[in-house]
Amino acid sequence: MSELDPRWRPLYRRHTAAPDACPTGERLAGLAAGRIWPWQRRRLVAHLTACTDCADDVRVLLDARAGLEAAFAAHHAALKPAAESRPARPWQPLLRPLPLAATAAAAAVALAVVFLPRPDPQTSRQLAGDDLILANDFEISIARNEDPLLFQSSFDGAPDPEPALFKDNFGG
Amino acid sequence: MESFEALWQRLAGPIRAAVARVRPPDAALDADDLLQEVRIRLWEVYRGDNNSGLSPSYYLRVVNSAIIDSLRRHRSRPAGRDDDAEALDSLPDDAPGPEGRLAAEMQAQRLKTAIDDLPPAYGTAVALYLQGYNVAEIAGLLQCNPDRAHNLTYRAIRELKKRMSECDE
Repeated sequence: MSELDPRWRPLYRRHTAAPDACPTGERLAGLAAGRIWPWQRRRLVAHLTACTDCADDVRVLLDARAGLEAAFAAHHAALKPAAESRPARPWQPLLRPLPLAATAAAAAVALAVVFLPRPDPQTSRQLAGDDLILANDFEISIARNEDPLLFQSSFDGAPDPEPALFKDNFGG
Repeated sequence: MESFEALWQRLAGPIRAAVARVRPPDAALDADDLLQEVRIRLWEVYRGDNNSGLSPSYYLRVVNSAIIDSLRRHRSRPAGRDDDAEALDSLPDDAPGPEGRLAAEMQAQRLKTAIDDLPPAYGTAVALYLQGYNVAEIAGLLQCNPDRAHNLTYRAIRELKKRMSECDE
């Protein structure tokens, strides 16, 4: 870390007096505990840069935080030994194979979806007959300036005198 | 009550150590008074928590809040007693004179202007550093990882030094 001129820190701190409205102790406590909304945190941090008193208060909390958290955790653990040593329910072992079976089934389905052979488009067309018009055929016919098959939707299959896009049987 | 005593024995050490590190012993703060006030606040919450159902994070917040309130209360209290005034008058005054104060004021203004002119992220990082926070604490306050906080602070300090040296020339 690059070192600053040693005079600057006391100089800065001496001239960052407490503004009129410092945040409440609750807010600063929340900041030090890491339990505060991001926009509130930004405003509080901006205040800390300008208020030496609050900056010192929060430094005390941050300095003590690890020790306090360890103390509360140890106390909490000491009060709850019964919960830790509670015997497992007798029917629990019977349920254990179920999640395993469900996971295996889900994995098998996923593998089947990924690896099963997909039908070839040419084969599909043969199976469906010549009535099937695939999007590729439409685009190829447009590219060749051929008479396109433009959504002729009459049921008898007779060609329309004026092919039109999106023509249907309802006068549309 | 026994469990509260055990909890307090665990808590008192870190609080006393942190206060001693950040607020030096000559400040207007008696660590024993502060600890007593925090203990009372914690006991009021603990007494109402019959089943110890409150989470450690809630207790942490209660203790943090009590520490801050106590620190503020002790800051506003004047240091020393009236009968010390005579003894204080006999001590040599090593405070700077009017010219020294004016020079310091101007330099502080220049420093603040230089910080304000930095990019916002740099300005925040270097201001926190000047307030006494270390890199890990800056990372916690800015909610970023320590490496990023280190880089940010390092670059901010370098930039600030450059700008201050330009002002000196």
